[in-house]
Amino acid sequence: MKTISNHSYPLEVKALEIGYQVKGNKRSLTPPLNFTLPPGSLSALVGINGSGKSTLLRTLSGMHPALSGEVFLKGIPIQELAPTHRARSLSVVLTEPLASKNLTVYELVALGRHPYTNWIGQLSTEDRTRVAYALEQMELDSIKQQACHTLSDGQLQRALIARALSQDTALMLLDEPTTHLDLYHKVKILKLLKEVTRMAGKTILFSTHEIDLAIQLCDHILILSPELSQFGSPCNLIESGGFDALFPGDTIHFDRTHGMFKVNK
Amino acid sequence: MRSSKKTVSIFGGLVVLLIAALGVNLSLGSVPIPIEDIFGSLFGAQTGRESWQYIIWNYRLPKAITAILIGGGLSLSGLLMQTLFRNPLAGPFVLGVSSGASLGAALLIMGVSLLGGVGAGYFTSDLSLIVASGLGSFLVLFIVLLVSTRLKDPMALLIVGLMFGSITAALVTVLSFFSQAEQLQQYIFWSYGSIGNLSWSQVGLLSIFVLAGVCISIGLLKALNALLLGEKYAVSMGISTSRSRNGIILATGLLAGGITAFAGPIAFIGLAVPHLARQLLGTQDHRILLPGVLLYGGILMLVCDVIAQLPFSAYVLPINAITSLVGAPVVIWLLLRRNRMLF
Repeated sequence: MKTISNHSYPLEVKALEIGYQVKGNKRSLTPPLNFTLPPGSLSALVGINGSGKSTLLRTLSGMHPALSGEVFLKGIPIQELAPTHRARSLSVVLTEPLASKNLTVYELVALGRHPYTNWIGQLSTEDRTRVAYALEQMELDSIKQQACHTLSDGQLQRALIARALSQDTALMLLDEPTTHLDLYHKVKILKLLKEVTRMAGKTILFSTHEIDLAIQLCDHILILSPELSQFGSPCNLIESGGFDALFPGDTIHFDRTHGMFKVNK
Repeated sequence: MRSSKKTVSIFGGLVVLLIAALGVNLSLGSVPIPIEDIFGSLFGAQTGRESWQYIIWNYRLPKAITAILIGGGLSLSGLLMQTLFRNPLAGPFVLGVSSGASLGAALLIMGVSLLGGVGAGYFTSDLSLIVASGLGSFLVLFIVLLVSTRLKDPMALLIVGLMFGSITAALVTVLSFFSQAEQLQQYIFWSYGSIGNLSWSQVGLLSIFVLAGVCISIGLLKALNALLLGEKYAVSMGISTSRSRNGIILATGLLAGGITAFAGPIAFIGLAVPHLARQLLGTQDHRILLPGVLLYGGILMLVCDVIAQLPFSAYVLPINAITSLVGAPVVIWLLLRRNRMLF
């Protein structure tokens, strides 16, 4: 039976089971997931360490096989998309370090145009415009000629996001874009992401441990847990108690009135 | 990336240097020939003596062209390996491709005589040597690649390459223990590396190998640039990693395997030149680095050959020793300047 799906959604997930095959046995990380990301929305993916955030992002980007269920990009099952087509629909920001840190910021961002360039990778006027736009959006203009190994963590993260942005895809998936950053730069990155969803109409899903910030900034949050995974707006999730059982209760608890975690005293 | 104007002028400088190195290379040798006669001969004029004409056209010119082909080809294969393995110390020699070729050559030169007895020497024709060492290098590349898919740490791969070097060296030792002095000598001369014994038809054959490797590499330029971000990013941008991997291995096999077959092992050029070219051109872009390493490698090999000839003497030193003498200090220098080893 073919599942019917809506063409206007950048990402639609139906009965998706993520996890690993261990010696022929399925080891599922969460109950089957169902959610839809509307165009131009910013969504956070939260959950404790080992809950499967990275696995979910890898599954959604087609780099890791799903145990069951389906992932649709604009109504097309991800496994049916040709590699170039997929690269024009979905871009990623990963936690793994760049293979070459001697690339300049401009070279790095320009590589995002790969799915559009000719066989030798020549940049057209359109490509240059896109790269310039991405650099401007991520406030990288002043450092675009610097090599990546000279950048601070925050600058490097912005450069990586700019590369994904120049890939000009409806959907962007980011794996922990705020890790290793101080509070100021965490918020800065998240606000820039929010702006990208509003200005460029991109749909963004990012994994994070900054639940407090996600509650303040995101349109939707997906909570991954082995028992029950929930998807909804921050307000609805707070009301339904979605965050209450996120962590074991011995050290912190969720304060519903303030929408944040507090240390048990 | 530096401005394109600067890049163009660097390339202009490289071309001028290549022509200069070619001129010096042609004018030096055991027989002193006046420089005007050399250039006259190249452009079809009569030389002062007939023997000069012969020396230039049948000895010095094919050798110089071989040097350019070898230097450029090895440098390109080093560049491919460094990008594929994301390892700045990778190269045809370090990863055991040349060791594979030497095992192939040793098996042919010494192994056949063990099996075949008398008359085995007929088997060691030039073509069979080329085939044997080519097969050897492809085999080792294939095994290294299989191992690399199971390794996460790129540095571990260097150790794997070293181990292959040890294994092949041990096998060659065992072979040589059982072989005749004559065969042993033939093998040792092969391992010295030599770029001077190629006829025009062999130079033509070698250039086909190098040209094929260069053509495949040109087709891989886009994938190579994507691999600068890492394999996962490359996949996310629509690059087929298995196809580009196979292409890179094929190109490296043709370049490194072919060159080692024709000229014997030539150390360090393939490892050092990509770094020198990156530093000179100030970019990671393979579209600029590819012609860059070809030119730079050609120049360096011509210079090494000049040194190997010991100007104004009748001796010719083993080229493999000279490239190591030039290349090894470069590698040490790269390690000392840690920043520059990033790639």
